[in-house]
Amino acid sequence: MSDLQEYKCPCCNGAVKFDSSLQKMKCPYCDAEYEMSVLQSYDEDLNSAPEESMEWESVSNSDWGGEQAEGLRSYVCQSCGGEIIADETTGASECPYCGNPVVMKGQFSGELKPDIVIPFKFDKAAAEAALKQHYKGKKLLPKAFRDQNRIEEIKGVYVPFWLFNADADANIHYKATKVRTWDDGNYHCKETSYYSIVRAGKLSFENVSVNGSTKLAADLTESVEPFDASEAAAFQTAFLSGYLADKYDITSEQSEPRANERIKRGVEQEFRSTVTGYDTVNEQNTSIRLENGKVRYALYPLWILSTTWNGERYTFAMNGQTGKFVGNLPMDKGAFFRWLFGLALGIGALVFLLCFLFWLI
Amino acid sequence: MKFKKYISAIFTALFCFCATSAAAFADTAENASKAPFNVGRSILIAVVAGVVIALIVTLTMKSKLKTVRPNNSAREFIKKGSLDLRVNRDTFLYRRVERTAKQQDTQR
Repeated sequence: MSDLQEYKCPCCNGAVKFDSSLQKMKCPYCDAEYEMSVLQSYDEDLNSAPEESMEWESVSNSDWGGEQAEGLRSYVCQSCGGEIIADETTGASECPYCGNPVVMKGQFSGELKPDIVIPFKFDKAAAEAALKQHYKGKKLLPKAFRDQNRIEEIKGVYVPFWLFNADADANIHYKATKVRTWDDGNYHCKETSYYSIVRAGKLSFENVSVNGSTKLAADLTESVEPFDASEAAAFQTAFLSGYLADKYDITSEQSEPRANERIKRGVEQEFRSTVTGYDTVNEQNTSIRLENGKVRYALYPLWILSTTWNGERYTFAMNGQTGKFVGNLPMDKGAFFRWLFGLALGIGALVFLLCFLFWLI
Repeated sequence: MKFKKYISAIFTALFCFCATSAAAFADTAENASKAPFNVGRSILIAVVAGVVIALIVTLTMKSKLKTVRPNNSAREFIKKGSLDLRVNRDTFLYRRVERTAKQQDTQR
């Protein structure tokens, strides 16, 4: 039995892909559209754990050395027979020879099956348009980067995330002051009142996401948040067709410290927002306990765009559900100093004129 | 780009004109009764204000180039309406008053 799953159109046998604008499977050859439930039968064999297969197909005229083969897996495309080499976490890809989208069945079956998936809502054209929009209004962006830059790679990726639900029970003590000043005859008077503040209670967190893949930097995936998990669907491999996907290589246990840190900070900020009307507030003591903790495994959609400029690699990401676009851009140092000098001169002239007008009055 | 150079040149000329005019105007008889216009101090204030404001503006423009940041808080994942405070207590502890004598101006 093949390790790969390809979704064939019942009408013309072409490779169907998930269409983000229709939210259905669509055949690019005959334009036939299919509901997700129609292809659900393809997933029947995912209920049982797959047979482990660690067979290596030798590439003609060469053998992978032990170190080179480590972390790689080999598959055979069902459409053209081409060999697909992918790393051990790749869950969906496309055949490099015939371009057919493929899903590696073993990566998302049995215990590895994600609980939910958020389908793509924005397509590749939207990602390219978002990149152009991202450049707009950036006065310090080098003109050459904007004009000459070519995107080397655009890929739609389902990124593995761990979603943490928990109830936080917190007890936080603060010290706060109120300050009042006035003049009393020949004296400046300052009155400082000191308060002890206690806030204790419960707060619930839903779907706190932590990146489950080492292939994408955590700050990049956190920058495109939030994702709306209420739009998530039960996992079906059909959603992955036409996109890339990886299974997790960071376990939920390894993700817990990051989730705890984010929840703790969220509790502190939320409780702090209830302490109002003071001039200074300092946290003295914090105690947070988590209850009813649950972890789910999810695949979230991201568009990843990469480019190289002046020897440096720039990676951009777009939230495939909300369209939020992020990515660091280079700075034109010459433009920075021109703006600084020009503004300083202009504002300085205005301030000088104002000083003169005040003197006149 | 040329437009920006012209704007920069215009502002430079305006600055020099203001300084020269102010110095000349300050010497007229009409303003003889007032304290003379302190050109040096005004230029200093103008330069400091110009640099500070220009730095704020250009550093803001620079910060717009960086959009990838870790999100250390899970505040946006809080379930709406789930905050339940069972203890909400503000207790006054004590008060302290400081009195500082005003500096007296002595005229000789």
